[in-house]
Amino acid sequence: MAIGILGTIAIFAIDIIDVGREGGIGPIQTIGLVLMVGLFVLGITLIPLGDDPA
Amino acid sequence: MTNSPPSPTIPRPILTLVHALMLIALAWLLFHFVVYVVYANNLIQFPFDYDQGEGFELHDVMLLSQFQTPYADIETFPFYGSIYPPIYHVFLVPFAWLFGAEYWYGRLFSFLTTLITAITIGWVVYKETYRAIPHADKTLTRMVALASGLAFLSSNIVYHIGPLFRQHISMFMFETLAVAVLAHVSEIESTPRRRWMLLLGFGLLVLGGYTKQLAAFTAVGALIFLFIRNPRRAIIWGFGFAVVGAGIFVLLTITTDGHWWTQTITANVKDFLTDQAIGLARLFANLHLAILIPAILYLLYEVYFDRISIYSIWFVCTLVLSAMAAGTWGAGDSYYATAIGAMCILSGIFISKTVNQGWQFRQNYLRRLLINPFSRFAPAITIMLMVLMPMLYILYARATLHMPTTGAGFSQIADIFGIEANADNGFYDSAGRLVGAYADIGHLTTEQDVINGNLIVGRINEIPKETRILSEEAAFSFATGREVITNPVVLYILDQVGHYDSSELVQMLEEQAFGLIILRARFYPPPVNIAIDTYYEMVEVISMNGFDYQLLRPKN
Repeated sequence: MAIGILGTIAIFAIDIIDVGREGGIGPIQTIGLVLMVGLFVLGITLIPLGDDPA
Repeated sequence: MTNSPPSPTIPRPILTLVHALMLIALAWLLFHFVVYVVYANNLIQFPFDYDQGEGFELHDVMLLSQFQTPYADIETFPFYGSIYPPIYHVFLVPFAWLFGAEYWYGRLFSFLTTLITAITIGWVVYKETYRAIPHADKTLTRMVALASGLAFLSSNIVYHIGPLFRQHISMFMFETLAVAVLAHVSEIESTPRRRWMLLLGFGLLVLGGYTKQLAAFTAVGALIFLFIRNPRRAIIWGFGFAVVGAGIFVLLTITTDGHWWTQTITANVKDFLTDQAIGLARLFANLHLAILIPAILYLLYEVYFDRISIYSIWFVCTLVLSAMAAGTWGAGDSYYATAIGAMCILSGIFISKTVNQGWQFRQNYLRRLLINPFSRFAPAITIMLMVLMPMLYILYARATLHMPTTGAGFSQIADIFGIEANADNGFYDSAGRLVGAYADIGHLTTEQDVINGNLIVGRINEIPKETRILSEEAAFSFATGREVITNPVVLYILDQVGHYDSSELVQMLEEQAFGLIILRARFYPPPVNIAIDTYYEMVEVISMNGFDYQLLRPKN
């Protein structure tokens, strides 16, 4: 879940930090965002399972 | 883990129906296997390049067999460099010593490695089924294991590249073997045996990585899996793996004066084409949906109700990373091949568990939410799913249908089922040829193709031996005993990233140093193509294997 949150922030941060680049969310960023949001959702659903070994 | 309610007794007619449907699925998949063998046999006998770049891989083999490096300075004559690691070519060196520059042994080797991969997939499905369900039905389990292996070979993507003289194919054999070896390594109690298995697994990963760089995705998956199971052991072995891998890399970089780095790393940094990536992803999903769904369901099952296996992590890593890599310039559908292997294992285990009624679900909120409400319908759902499972393989066989529509047996089948050719030389490919970067291959070569290839060879032989020729495919250089000059794609890629100066090659073209130029796709960098058109003129076009080969002579 943490990776999902941090990844999402990092992907949006690209647009904030690298202001010189072409605006908008690019295709790679979109794929990355989908993956990170997916990881976040996965993490949320795993919390109720407790500490069962993976 | 809590067992599900006792499995209902399956009525004999239902069991008979499941067996019958599995037989139909196997018959169809076996038909695809027959097509595959026919295709491999056809290609093994074809003496020229079938897929662009095969000849250059053969040239790598020949260079290594003469203890020369294929990672040389591409800016100086003969302007040749390879962008692939050497393991596949090293394996073929003994054949080069015995038979010289021939295509058949490289294609046969690749074909055999796909069979080993398919057998490994089937073996994994069989073993994992019995590991989880000791009372599993032997006949059904064997049928599913066989179907899983055949499903791998039946994929249009695997079929296309299986018998090619390309390094990619043996890479996924090493990857699959590595995953099979490492799958239960953490459970081995004997320390010496566990270490030997780890050594074997990591050794196979190193071999895979030095066959083609894409095996790094499998290595990532394997390391994640080992880390989840035993972090300390994963870090120690991962460090050793990194040291060995990096050590070989540094050694190759130093001994080739840095050309190894330029050609295997710099030349592989290519433009990302979003349309290509999306098109190939959609094509992959459409072709494999019938086994993709059970593979994903099994992955979710492991995440929420069981322990996560190496197969699931391997599948996710190779699918996601390969899907992205497939979007780079020069990549193609073949990048999905490893993920297809992982998918065949996961779907095979899912289907085997279902037909053997071997599902078990941990007690958790998802079980209470998704499983328990339907427990009273368990007998009916079990029967329904058991009948559905073989049908998935039948649907998959239909989705991946590919076959020649001409020739003994095939033309009759095509007539009966109304299958019309949609590719070269009377070939039908369910994937069509609609997506960019989807390999335009899979068809059989004809006698006319060989005749036309020899026609090009004849044209070259008209040129005095001491006069050089420039052929975009190495096959014609081998066939005429000429020096292989340039590897166009490598020059093009390095030109695109600003690491190639074409001055020397352009100067040779200006001086009309080549008596004949043979082009197929004009993969040369723009300055070279301009020089070719400026100082040479097309005198003849000869078709071979669906491509028009342009023959150019110096302008007067």
